[in-house]
Amino acid sequence: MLQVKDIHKSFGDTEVLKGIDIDVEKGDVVVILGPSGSGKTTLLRCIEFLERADAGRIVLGDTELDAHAATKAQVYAFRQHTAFIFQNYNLFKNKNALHNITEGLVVGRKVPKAEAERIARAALADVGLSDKEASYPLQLSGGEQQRVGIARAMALKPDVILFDEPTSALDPERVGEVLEVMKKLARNGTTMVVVTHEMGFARDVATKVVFMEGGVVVEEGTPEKIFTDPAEPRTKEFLQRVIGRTAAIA
Amino acid sequence: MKIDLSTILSVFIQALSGVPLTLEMTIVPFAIACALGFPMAIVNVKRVPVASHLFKVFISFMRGTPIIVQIFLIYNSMPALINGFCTAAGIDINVFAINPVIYAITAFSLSETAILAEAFRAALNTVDKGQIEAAECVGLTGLRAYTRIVIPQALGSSIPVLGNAVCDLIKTTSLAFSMAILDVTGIAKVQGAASLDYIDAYIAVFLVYLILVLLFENLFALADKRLNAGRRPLQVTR
Amino acid sequence: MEKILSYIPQLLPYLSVTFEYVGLSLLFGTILALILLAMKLCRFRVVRAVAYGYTTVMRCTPSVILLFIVFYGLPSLLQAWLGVNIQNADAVLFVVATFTLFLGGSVSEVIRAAYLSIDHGQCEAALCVGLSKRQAILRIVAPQAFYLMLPNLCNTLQFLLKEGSLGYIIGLVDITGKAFLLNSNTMSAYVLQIYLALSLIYWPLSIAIEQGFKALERRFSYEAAPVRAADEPAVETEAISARFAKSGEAA
Repeated sequence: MLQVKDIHKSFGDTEVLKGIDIDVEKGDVVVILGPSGSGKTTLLRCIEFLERADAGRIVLGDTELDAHAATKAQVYAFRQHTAFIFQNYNLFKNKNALHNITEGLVVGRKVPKAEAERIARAALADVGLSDKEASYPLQLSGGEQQRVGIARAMALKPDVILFDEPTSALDPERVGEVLEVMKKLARNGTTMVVVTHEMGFARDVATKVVFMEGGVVVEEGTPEKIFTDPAEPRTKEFLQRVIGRTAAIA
Repeated sequence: MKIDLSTILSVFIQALSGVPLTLEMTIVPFAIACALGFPMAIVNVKRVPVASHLFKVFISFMRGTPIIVQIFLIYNSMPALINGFCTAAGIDINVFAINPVIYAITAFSLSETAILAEAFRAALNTVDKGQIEAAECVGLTGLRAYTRIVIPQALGSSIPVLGNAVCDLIKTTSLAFSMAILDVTGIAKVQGAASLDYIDAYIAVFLVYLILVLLFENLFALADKRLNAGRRPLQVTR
Repeated sequence: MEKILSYIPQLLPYLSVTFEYVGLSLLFGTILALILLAMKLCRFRVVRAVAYGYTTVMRCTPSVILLFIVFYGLPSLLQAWLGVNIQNADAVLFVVATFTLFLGGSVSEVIRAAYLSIDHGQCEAALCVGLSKRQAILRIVAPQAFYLMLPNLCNTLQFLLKEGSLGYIIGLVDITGKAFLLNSNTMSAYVLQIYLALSLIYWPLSIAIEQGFKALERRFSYEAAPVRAADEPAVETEAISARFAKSGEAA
């Protein structure tokens, strides 16, 4: 359903993405792992056109876009089918939780206000925050803000939701509540592309794991394959570093 | 409309002779204001019972009324006050011979003290409370923690504001002409009246102020960079 | 003391003139500021340079000097360019023109600083939920920027109130102008009383502006930490940001 083809991106002299290819089927939960600096976040932002790739193509359903030269109108239309979850939530600070969700519906998709509020309330209920609909972002905890962010994405009924390290900015106790919501989304068949460090989520929920390092896709496969018997030494090394550490804590 | 460059140039050069006076009316009040304003700020931050209330009223008045009105009040009351004081103390003085610059400096000092007291108060309040806590944890008690940790940080972070205040003061000194003082603006008035070419005279003088203010701006920016280099986060380029 | 108080009613009627030039200067000054802001955000370096140069010049000019330049220069300028004779124009015109020029520079810097300090992520999130760039700026960024600008707007208003008193020099009869006239008429016999009365009008006005803006800040805060603490004044940050963030101009 979503295909990312041969994406290249440099910042100044540094080439951050050296030709990335990723295929996402409908209902897939693709988790992208990798050390910092591997380009994972940049890739996600390029897909959503928050950064402009230098070259490559992005295919969503029947529409193919040039990752570099797509027009504003094309990007706008593309965004009607996607949603993005930010590491620092980026809830609209001047709107309460309910209006954060209705904003995109009313203004972006011309949904009538009453209908939008109904959808928003349902989304808030889905993430367990019905009682916070009148609260402003600054009154909410990090975990609550991120859950509202996810509700905001869900309400738009996108074809695919992109998650950029959704739990990295959260306290450990809050991580769980957000992961629960994400697991629920996965169970309901939402197509998700997730950049994260949460190995547990990758192992339990992902349908495909992609390991990136140094701007290239080193290896990809099912969670079972990647976590129990990775083919590449670099993958092995990374997993040992990360899981070894978390195992020591457990 | 004709702009006569030669007039501008000649008035410019004439006006330069007023610069020392302008600087005198800037630097002296500023120094006095720093000396008085900082303790005032500390008193206000610590909310010392009677003093801080009096100071706050003073600051409110000085910041709430136009400087020109303050100048009128000082210029029209100080001679009488000095006269009265000297007569009572038995000092022989010809009040009319007193250089009006004294009155200007007094007016500017009072005004600037109020402004700086507020600026220092803001700077003191912005010093992270955690700094004092950390100081106490390593064994620095109240007063020493204040003088060795809080005050230096407050002073360092006030440099931009102080730079701003100095530049504003340079511009404010232009009002000294109302006391028949021949600073930069005073000279422009005289020259303009003499040649009946006011436009060129004031353009020349505007250039003088432009140079002065830019000079001090850059001085303070340099000072800020040098003194506060360690406290700004490193610029990370992506 | 009674003498002081007796002068207040004589001055108060002229407050309308003061409010007149304050209001008009704000209006035209903001329009000019928006134009300059657009120029500062323009793609072309020359346009940006002109706008920043203008701001710098305004920042470095004493009010009195600009007032004189406008007073002596504007009539001949308009005469030469448009053939319009404003020799007999009301002093208010020159005062408003002067402060419009000033405010254009400072307010454009205030808006720019506030706009830049809004987290870029707010705009990104707006785009991602399907708003157009224009909608994102109008509905999400601008309201937040407005709230951040309030302390600086308070300063601007207080500045206008106080600096506008200099209009007396060119014959403007606002409250200061009237005080000046009263003083001349009484041969400076009651100079202290007159000017103290004048101070007693300016002082509460200044405080009222301060309190008014604090109320506005409370009203518009998103139930968040207010832009400034309860007893803290708004320090003149817009000029500071203009002076010390020169690197931002290249961006």
